[in-house]
Amino acid sequence: MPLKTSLFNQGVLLDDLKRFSWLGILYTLALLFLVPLQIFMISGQEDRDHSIMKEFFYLGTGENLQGALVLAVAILMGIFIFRYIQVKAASDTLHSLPIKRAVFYRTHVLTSLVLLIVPVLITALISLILNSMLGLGAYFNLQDIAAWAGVLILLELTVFFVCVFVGMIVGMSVVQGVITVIFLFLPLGLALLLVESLQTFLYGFTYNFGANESKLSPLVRLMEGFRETNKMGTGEIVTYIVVCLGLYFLAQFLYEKRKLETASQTIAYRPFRWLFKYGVTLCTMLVAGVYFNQTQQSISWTLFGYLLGSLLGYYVAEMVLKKSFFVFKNFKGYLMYAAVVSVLLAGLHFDLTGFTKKVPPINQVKSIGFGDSFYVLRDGQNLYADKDNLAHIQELHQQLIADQAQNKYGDRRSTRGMTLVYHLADGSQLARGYSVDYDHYSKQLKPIYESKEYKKHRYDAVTVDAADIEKMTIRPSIDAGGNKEAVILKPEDIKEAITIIRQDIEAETYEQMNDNRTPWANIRLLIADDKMKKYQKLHTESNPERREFYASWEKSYGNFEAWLQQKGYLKNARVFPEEIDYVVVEKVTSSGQWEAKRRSGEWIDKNSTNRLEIKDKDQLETCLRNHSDVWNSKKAEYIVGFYREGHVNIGYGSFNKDNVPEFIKGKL
Amino acid sequence: MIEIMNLNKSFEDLAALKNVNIKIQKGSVYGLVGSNGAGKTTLLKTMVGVYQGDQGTCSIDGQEVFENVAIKAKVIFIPDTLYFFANYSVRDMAKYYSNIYPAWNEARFEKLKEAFDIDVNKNIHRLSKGMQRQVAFWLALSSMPDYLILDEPLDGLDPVMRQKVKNLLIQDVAERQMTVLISSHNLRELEDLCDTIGILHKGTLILEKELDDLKSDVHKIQVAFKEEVSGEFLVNAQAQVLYEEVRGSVRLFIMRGSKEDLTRLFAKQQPLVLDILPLTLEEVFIYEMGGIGYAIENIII
Repeated sequence: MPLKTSLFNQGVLLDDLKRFSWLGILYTLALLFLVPLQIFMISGQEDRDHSIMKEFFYLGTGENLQGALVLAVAILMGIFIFRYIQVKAASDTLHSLPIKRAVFYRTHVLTSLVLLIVPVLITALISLILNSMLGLGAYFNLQDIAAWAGVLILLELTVFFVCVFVGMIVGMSVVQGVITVIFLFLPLGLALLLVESLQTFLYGFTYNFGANESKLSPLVRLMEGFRETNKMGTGEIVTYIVVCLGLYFLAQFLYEKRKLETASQTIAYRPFRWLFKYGVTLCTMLVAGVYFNQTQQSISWTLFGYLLGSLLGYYVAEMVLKKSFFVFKNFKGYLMYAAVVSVLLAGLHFDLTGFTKKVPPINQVKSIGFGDSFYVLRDGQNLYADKDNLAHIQELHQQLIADQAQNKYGDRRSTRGMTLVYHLADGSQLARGYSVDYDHYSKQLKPIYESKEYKKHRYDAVTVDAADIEKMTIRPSIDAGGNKEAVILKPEDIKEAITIIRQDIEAETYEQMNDNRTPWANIRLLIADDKMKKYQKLHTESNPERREFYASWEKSYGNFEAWLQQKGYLKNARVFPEEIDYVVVEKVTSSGQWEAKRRSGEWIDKNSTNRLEIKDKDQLETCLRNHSDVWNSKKAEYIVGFYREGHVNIGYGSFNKDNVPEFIKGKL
Repeated sequence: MIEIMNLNKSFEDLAALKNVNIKIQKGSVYGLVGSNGAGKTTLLKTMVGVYQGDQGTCSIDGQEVFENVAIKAKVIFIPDTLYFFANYSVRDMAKYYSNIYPAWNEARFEKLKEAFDIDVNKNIHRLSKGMQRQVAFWLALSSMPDYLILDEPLDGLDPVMRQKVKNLLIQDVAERQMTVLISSHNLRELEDLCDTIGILHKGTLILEKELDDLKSDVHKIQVAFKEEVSGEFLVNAQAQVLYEEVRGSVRLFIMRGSKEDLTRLFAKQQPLVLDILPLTLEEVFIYEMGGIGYAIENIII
């Protein structure tokens, strides 16, 4: 026998290489075009930023042709090399040959590995040669190339083995391709759908997706690539390797057990047919439920979505399996499914596991992350450890639980997220998320908001070291002239200003924080270049060059106002009635109306019967002090427009019920 | 020797083979006859290890065939739907077979080129269906199998080629003791080739006979007597009458027995006319099966 070892068959290997090398060659050419050639072209252009060369080794850059290429090649490889088991004539002929299925399998996989890995290695080698020949070591190095090649190979093999595994289950190549893509997306998609659904039915359930999104799906990983910020960790690499190995053996097992007569059936294995049917039903059910939940924000629509989606999914799966449109007689399976799902939903609804009511005892709580979403809790931000605050937050949590009936399926239009993450003494975490109307919880929120800890989290001005500030710029929120601003450069003045602002912040009450009167001015605190090391958190992905903290001069900051006056900065720090010619106020009933008037601008300035024009300087000052520049849908009642001479609008706003000046109330 | 014992095979809920038992001696040519859907192809595919039986055994030379490389190396299967790799020429395909089959005989391949007269460098997919079938035989015979399993092999061959292939098969059977198993829905096609015939109907082997026995054993007798002769002489002689018919004064019998015995039996009654003829294979089956109670005409034509 050729090739004494029975692990591989030389004849099959040579033949495979002969028949499928074209794919490997095309793959090599495409990779060479997408990586070294691009780098070579950029290196020849003097005016291009050469530092972007490194990005070719990040996978997910630009339109991410690399990711799409890898995905396509790996799936095609998996389909082509095992195409013969899906075609009856080929399957019969080849399996009558004196070759064990395991040998066929190993040989085909070996061929595929060669054709998938060698092109990447060639590309890596050529990139390396290019690097040393053109002296590009400053832009990328061996390590970048190696990491790129490693991740690429890992991901393409994962896709390939998923595809092979799926191929052993299904009986048609098209189905193999489609299900492979679904499989690659499935962990993430299913998790997303389940979390969304649990959030609807299990009061308080939440899950931090942002952190795990790309880790849950190789497809997302492939498309997003990896940068400095989301490098593949050891755990992830090990997981991929384990998955590849597991799928390799599983697929071999399935191939050896496969009944060859199932070629051209949709799904070759009976248990998998069952799984396919109910899997599709579950997924479409969740998709439809989430869709209607998101668009209609109501529980009856969600349940309607479940019914519609599950029926649709069930019968589509039946049609695909039976390859016929006439499958409506079979409803027994659907009834069974519906019964099981109803029981599960009822279980969630009645909270049989006690999930909803669980509140950790305060003596076991080390700290609590508290904010409106997981995003604001990232990297240990908004973490509360103060004993009083822990008690306050827990009290809030208990109130939230008590209000389950009104919050769970309630109207979501005026609600905001509220996320609690308990860090317990034993190192574990307990996370809960709610979507509630904050105004209902003023009583519980007030002590938290007025605590020093909260203010430290909320206001950068409290934490920044005044000595590190190079320049303080105060820009009025309404500016008649166009470029009015007060600039403070004297270090001792900056220090004083910060101290005063801190006093004002400390004195700020919950009510003051929450009435949305427009601040007098926005304050920018520019950090000295040499002090930036201390403030790494300023750098965000969207603005890696950022060097400023922001603060506001709220209307309630009386001390600061007095200080500005005393130091002579006040003149340029806010708008004065003298700069304003007149103000127009009109009664408005909805945010849509307010938006429309604000945008078209003219209506408010025309002589309609229901408008009020104010020119008195004292009244103007009152208007300036009390207006808000957003529309609070519960409290706002009036639109206000500020005009300077020549009927030029310099800003719009609204008045809240509580803040409407008396002279307006009397007339409108 | 091919030996199949109590073989059962189902596809989902369709029972394709039910308790099939077959023994095929080395060096014989076995014809498997049955209508469409009788289970012929399933039986052949199980025999060559493509399918695995649900119950029972299927062995060649005493070893189970499924996943048995040593046995499969001696067996070649030509399915009813042929398969060749895309863009492969006869030469490429031969190379592939030579890598796979240890007994591949290059000299034989070259020699058979004359018999088939097909350009070895031609893309097989461009050849006609009949020519593709010839290529399949060419490759199979060059691999020097001990067992050749053919599913509807002569379909699509012209009469000249059909004869040529038959001759090649018989030559290998005679020279190398090759065992051949041929399936067909047409009994007449197998008449001059097989030494044993099995009939498969709805998954069951309902009849298995050696042809020489069959043909010499059953006869058609046309006889006219001078006077009325009662049928008792037949009963007394314990003769096996498969079929009896009266056409005026002429009586027709289909009977088992050698020509000599039958002549002797009827001569005793001093008939006016006595004609004893051998049956065609088809007639044999029709009468044999009629005896068991099957409407055989529908099965074997």
